[in-house]
Amino acid sequence: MKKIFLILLTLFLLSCGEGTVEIGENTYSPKITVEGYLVPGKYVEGIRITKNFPINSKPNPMSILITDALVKIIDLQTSREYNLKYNPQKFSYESNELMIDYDKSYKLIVEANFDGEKLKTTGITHTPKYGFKIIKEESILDSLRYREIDDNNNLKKFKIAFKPSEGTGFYIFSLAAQNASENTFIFDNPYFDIKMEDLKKNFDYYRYRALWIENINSSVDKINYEIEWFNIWFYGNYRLIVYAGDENFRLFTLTYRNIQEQDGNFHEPRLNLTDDGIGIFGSYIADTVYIKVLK
Amino acid sequence: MKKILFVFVFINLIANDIFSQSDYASLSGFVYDSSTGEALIGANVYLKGVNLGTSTNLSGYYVIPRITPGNYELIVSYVGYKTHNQKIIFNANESRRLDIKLIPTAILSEEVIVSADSMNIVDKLYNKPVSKIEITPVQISKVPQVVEADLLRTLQSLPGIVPVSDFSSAIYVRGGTPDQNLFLLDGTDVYNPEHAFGLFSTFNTDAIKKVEVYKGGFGAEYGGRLSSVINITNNDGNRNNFEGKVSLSLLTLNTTLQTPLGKFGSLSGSLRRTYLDQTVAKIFDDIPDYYFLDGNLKAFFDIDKSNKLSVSFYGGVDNLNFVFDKNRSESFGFNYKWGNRTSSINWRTIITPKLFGNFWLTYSQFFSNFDFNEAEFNEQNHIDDITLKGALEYFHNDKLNFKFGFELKNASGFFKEAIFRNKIDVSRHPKLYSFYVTNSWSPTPLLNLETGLRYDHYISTKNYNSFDPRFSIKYRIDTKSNVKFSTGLYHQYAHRIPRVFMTSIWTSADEYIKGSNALHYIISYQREIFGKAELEIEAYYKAYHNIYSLNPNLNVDIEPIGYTQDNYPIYGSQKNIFFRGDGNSYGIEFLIRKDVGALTGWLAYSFSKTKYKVDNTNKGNPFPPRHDRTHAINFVANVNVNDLLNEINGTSDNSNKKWLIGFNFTYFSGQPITLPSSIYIANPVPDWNINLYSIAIYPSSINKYRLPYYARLDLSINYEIQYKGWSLTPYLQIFNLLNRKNVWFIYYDEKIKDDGAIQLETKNVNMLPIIPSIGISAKF
Repeated sequence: MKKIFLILLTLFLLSCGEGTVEIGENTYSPKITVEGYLVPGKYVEGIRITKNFPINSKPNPMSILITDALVKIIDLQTSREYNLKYNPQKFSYESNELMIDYDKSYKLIVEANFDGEKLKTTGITHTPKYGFKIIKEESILDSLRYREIDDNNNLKKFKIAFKPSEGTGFYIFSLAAQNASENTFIFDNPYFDIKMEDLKKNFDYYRYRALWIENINSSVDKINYEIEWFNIWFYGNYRLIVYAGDENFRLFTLTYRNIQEQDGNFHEPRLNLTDDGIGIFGSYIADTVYIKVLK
Repeated sequence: MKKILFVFVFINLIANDIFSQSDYASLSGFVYDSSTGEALIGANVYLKGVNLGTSTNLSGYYVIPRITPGNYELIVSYVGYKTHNQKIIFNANESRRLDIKLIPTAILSEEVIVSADSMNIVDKLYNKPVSKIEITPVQISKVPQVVEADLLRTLQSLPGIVPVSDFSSAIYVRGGTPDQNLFLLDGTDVYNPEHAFGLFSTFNTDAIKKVEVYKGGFGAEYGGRLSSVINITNNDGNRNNFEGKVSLSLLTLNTTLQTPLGKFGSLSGSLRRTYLDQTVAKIFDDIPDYYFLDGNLKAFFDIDKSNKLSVSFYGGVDNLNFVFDKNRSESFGFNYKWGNRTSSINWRTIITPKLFGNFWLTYSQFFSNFDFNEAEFNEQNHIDDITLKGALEYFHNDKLNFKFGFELKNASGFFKEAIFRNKIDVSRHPKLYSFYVTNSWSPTPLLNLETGLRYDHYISTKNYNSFDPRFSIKYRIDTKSNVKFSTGLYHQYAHRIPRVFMTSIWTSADEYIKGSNALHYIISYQREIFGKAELEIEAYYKAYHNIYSLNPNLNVDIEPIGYTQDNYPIYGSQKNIFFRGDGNSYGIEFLIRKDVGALTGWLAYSFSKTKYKVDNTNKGNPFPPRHDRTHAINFVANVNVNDLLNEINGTSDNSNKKWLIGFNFTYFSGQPITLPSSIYIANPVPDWNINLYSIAIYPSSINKYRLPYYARLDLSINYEIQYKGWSLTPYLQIFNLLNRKNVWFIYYDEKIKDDGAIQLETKNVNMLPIIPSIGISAKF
């Protein structure tokens, strides 16, 4: 009887309580974080090198900058190496010796010491071919009233017509509300009942939108893209930058945050940096337009 | 492989040597339930004292060939029925047909049954194949569960079978994934047997007659899956009387009716529907408009003494209309509808007393339609499977019998999806032709060897052929114990793309994806203990080759096969959708089970390890999958309080009111999980300032860590009142009685503090809390 009581007691004790998971220093391993893009027709600039940091820590963005890393880019066409210098005004590395060209390959090498470890990473990007351009005369970029309706009772939408770069199937549309504020927010939308509290908490979610298309037929003269109204959350001006991104840009942007599966578990993003590196070393061609949403 | 083939051929040659005829008699027939006329599957039929016996097959048919003329005592037993004893005299060359009707215990004293049945536990264990477990609807309904009884959730309480979370009824058998389980409903393959996004299975417990579960090492008559077979036979219908059952739980209203069709047969039908959409959802805006409905219909016809025909239908549908904000005129909303339809015609025939035939024509359909028009997201998924199959059993003599058969499967399916302007359009029409032969040889009553060979010819855009040898051996150590060994090769050409909140998508082998295969080795020791219970210890090793898992980054890896008029991509190939891998599982399971008496149930412990090595994953290193649970303890106990008091006090009070109490305790080691190793700063586009999007997580090695252990205690209390053939059972079920907070996953909340500090806060998301529920069922 004692044994049965002990077994029942054990079952009861096991079936109570709460499991806890420790995440932080115990799961941390240091990585060189790269955030850098090459742009054909421009000198190398804006290569930002930072540290990663443990979950549940609270670092200031300035404290994670790595300012003394060895950063260089090799032009793989000529095999010439270019050392990059840190620019404290821009918090990033640059070189005014290397002008980036279209349809060429470049290799980044970064070496840094932190958290007591000597770390190294490399990455290669191949820049897009010349050709990408927004065709403004065939786009609808004028100002529109919010969810404006045409004579046939159809919703008017902002439309971007662009000529793709041949061989580049990935395009990302970065929409930034320039007059975003609690006063310009479109509370009276037909989609969701957004409370002020939600807006404050998720302000950046509404202010910045990144929309993308991939694997389009890049051998044609024109691709049309419409911006759905549910991506517009503020009245006022928007800056719309369209990027024709290389393969690294595509893989990074489409996978770096999309790593938690529906059951909560994680999988690896597709980052084209070797060894101790995470982040993005890519290239793009960009074109910018401005649109306006009226009340 | 060559060795196994050699053993197969060798045993066949030996078997041929012992073919010889004399003036032996034989006995054959069906075993039925006397009250309903239902054929009983797996009943033990044997001649006392001479070690001659068998068990009834899936049709309730048995044959004892090669009986030396003389006087015998025939014993027929089955759990839950009074054992049948009969003196019988056999003459030379006599071929006797004897149909036997067993009387259920419900109308008898429990004491008689317990003592009679306990005699045959070791025989019952010897007769069943390795790793086979049988479950009846009564046993399923006794295990406390979430809101109502569920077949798959009951199976999750068995050793070697684990769930991945409280929210899923999917079963992972000995390290295999749910797509490696073959579900047969009255002989028909069932794809995606899930209601409510996997929370419940599609199988209505009240419609079930018997469930056979093969956890591995199954014979050549089964194929097409790597890990297990779950063979569900629905009620044929009551041959003698009109019978009904109505159940009401907090989730569903369920009714099952059975009626005789004159002298010719019987009819059984079940209908089940959730009703929250018609009640609670009308009052509360937050409750989505959702229901599921399913129904079974089965007609059984006794054409003559040797021919039986049954026609079976199943239909089930789930329908979800979801609007994110019901108060907004154009708020996003979607409709999601999915379901299964199956039908089968089964002809069972006694061609000669020694040759029994079973033929099926089956049709199985799975469909799902998802419409989310505002987001320009639409999806249709369809599978149609028409199969003709035959299984023949030839009982040559007491030492040798054969099984052989064929399966001709003609499937078609399509998956169409439109997201924004991207389109996926995949159609396929695979065919699978299978043939098998098995022989079972018992050189002595204490030893049985079974060899089998299955041949699969798979036809698609690329064809594949496979030969799967199977072998098993059983040896009776003494009057209390057996030892068994089984091995076999298994092939699978159907693959599944698993999804959590949407139904899984089935696809099949082609030029990009090969057939998977697995090799099983199982050794088993079985023993009758305490006179009334059984002990089973099984150790296994499984090696997988060419198993496929979903590419988690398939959105960047799939390649278009063409373009729309707008020059957006069309996807129609499964290239890069899956990652190929290999793996292995091994473990040992201990099971003590008691099926009769006032206290029934089982206590099980299992130790298991599973490792997968998948291309392009975890830097090529092996890792445990999420369903790997090193230790598992299951304790299921059902107490008939009245009978227990009778046993203790030595009384035989047959009260028409009974208290039944059920416990279900589950313990699992924590499941593997990939945790974030760190966070870093990154933006999706170069022009953004640091914002909430700028924080990205970088994961650790795949499934390197473990969640805390999982434990749960469930309780059910039933009060059964019987009156003039009617019974009424109100019940209370409490899932997770002690409200343990079992971690499901971890939620991460990105924050930028006022001082510019960046933080990613973590919070546990737990599985189901305590869920009490009540219900009532009435039988007449």
